[in-house]
Amino acid sequence: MSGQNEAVMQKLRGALDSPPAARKLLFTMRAQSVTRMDLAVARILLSERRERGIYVTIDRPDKNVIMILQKHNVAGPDDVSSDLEPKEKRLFIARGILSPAVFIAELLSRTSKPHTGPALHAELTRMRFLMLDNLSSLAVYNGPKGIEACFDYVAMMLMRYSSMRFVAVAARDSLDALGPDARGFFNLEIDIPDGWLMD
Amino acid sequence: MDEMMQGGFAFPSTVLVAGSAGTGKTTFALQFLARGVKDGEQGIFFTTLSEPTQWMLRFVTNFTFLDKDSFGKQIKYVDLGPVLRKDRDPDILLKYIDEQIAEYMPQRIVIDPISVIGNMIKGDYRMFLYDLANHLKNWRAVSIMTGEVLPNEPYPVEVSYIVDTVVLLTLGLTSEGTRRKYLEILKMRGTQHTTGQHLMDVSRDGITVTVGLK
Repeated sequence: MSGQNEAVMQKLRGALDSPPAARKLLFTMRAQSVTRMDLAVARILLSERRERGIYVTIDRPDKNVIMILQKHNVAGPDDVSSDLEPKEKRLFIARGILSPAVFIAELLSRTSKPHTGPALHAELTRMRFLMLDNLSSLAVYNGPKGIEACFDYVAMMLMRYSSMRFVAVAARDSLDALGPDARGFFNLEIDIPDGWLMD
Repeated sequence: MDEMMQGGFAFPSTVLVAGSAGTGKTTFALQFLARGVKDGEQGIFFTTLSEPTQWMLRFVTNFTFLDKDSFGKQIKYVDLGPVLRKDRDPDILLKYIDEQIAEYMPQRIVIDPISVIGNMIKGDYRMFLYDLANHLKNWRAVSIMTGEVLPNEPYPVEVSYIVDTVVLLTLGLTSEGTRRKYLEILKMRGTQHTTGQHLMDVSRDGITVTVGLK
């Protein structure tokens, strides 16, 4: 790993160690680096820290994400679930079906169901992150109301589960499309320089 | 080229570069990967022809635009021939392509030439192409497929339906009667682009398009 890449990884680790007040983190970079950044963040959270969490992909098949995580030894089949029912897995991967708001709303409502609700609630309580793997896609498929709803539900999730932090990765040139309030939602924004992860 | 496409290919997107033999399809694809290396990106070159790596390297050494040291590092060379010949199964081939992409995570992908797969694969080639395009689109990369043009068709129609951009390379006669190469963007979904045939030169420095010169 080059010095620059290691410096970036240290920067990510530092951001992910931020105090509880900074629970909403945004990493920005050129569009071509987003997938690699997703992997880098997942590697820190899952491999290095063995955290539990939710990984939401808006417009990619969850099998692609699982394949990448497996190929790079970040998470294996035993660690991952894509099923909304509680499974006691370290990582829950959800395909946001274009709108993460719908998915998060569904997840929250299921915690209130009489039979499976308590187990799901217990599982979410142990989760430490909610990650959105390409925030840029949010503006592609959602209008201002959809974007606002997504942030509202994320805020609701963080309010209910106080150990969870929200981590989003986005192409820096896509942020304007998300609207003026989107950036303000985050406590901490870290920009990653071009040329990162060349090796 | 970037001028013709108002900044280059959309990211992510799928592209067909079509042309008859000798029009510069592979050179176009290599130059596309070399440009990515300059921008700090990774590329995969999938060959369907089973050419040995050293043969490809010999070809590459003719060009000044590609650093030889990037081959095998920033640009990975993957031979699809053995998988194609062994199973001829579209699902196995797609899975193999997916696995290579998942491992290397390239921002730029080339399949050169796609037409060979049509002759070798079992089952419906169109269905395979449809699945392939969907798989490639899900990997967040710009993917170029090169396609051989047959005498009875202007470009590989079955591939052109499934891609976002079609670039056609042709040979033609100038008004002075000399044979020259031309580049034309036939389709570019969601982007403004320059239309018409434009004079193209292929040299050791790669492809140069003179926009407006026909």
